[in-house]
Amino acid sequence: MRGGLGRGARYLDNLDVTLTVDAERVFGWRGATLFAYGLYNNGRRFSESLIGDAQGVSNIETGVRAARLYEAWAEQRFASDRASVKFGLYDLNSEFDAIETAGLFLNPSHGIGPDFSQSGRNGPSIFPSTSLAVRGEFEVSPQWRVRAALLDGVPGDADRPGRTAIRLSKGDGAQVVAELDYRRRDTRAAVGYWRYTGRFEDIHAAGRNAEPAMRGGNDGLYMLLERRLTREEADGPQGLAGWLRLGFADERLNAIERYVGGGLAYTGPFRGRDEDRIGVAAGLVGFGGPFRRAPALEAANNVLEASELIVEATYRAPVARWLTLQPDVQYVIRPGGHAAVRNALIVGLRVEVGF
Amino acid sequence: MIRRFLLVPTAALICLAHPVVAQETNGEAEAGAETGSGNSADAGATGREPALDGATPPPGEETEAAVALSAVYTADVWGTCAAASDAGRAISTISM
Repeated sequence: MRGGLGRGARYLDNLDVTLTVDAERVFGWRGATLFAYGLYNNGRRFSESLIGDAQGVSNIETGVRAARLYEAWAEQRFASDRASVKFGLYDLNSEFDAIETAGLFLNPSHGIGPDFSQSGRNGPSIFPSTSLAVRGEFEVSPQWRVRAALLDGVPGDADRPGRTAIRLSKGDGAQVVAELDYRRRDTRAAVGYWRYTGRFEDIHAAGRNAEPAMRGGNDGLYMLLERRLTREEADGPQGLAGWLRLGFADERLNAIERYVGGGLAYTGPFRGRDEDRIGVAAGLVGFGGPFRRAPALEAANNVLEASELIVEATYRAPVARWLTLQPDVQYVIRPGGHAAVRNALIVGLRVEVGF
Repeated sequence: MIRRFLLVPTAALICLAHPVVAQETNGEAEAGAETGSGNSADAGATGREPALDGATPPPGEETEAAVALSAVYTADVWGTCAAASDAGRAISTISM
């Protein structure tokens, strides 16, 4: 194992506790579901202290030790369940920019594109800090559905990242996100668009003037395609699936301007191991021109490369009903785009215990 | 900014989607369910990812119980090995 900023090992953890209540059966509230989600992380840092990459390595790394209320929403379904509205603390990535096949992988870029996750003053409303939101979804036809959400523009409290906070401030603005989703048998394609109503500091102007230039119009676009490629049996889950995702963000206000990611995952690779999954994936980020020429980087006399590439290989094995093991290897090429940081080889093991 | 990127990726997506959609229209693809074992801490932990062959089931419909409580503990051990450089440490202090 080599590369990155230094040598070492880190232990990261994550505890999820969820409560789902069928309000129709419990309270007689027809078509309603209540959901609450508590989260704990030990907050140890790995990528920032040892790798120096932009995309991250583990999707449970938060950098802050905290126990939080992560989601708490009510959903009302109507029109024969073809339409629904959710309201409450909401992780937009539970439905937006979510790729089922990519869920095998541990790198955060395959959970939500880094072009999207980097945005906002305290990130968008995703793991680990979420914001108040209202989300609507409508099934136009069995193949087509559209969903949109309006969210508080700044999740949590950026000054106290470990706290669960809901602050609706006019200065924070809002975030809107919309996604059009197409599904037909083994294929899914989606296109999404997000935009903040607030104003953000211009990256290239920051540091040059006493008053940083503020701009509106912080937005981005993503597209994804995933598909089952082979099946061992007509109705079984075993076989090969793959996906491709493209994403773009405003380079004046975001470090990452472009992203392309994709991968392949095979379920049931060996006889007698039908639930095991094996896969390989890659994520390539392109840094925007204003970020590469940012005064902070120029002052450090640092040469920034145009991109960072992370390749991941993983194997997920449920060894008992309550225990899953997942060894994982990642190779980071041009970590953070910094020419002075060597490529990094990373080895990890994930252990999941279900109760 | 977004407008200038719209054309190329949209065209690429259409090109990628077209053959597979056409293939399915011809009845060559088979229906079935993907096992959603997603493990991203945000989406995967709730087990609410959409299945490739159908709609996202509301959480209340995933379990037979009217009230469902679940807990998952996840632990990662990550390691890398390299000589730390002063240049690298300086760079790491530059905020992204």
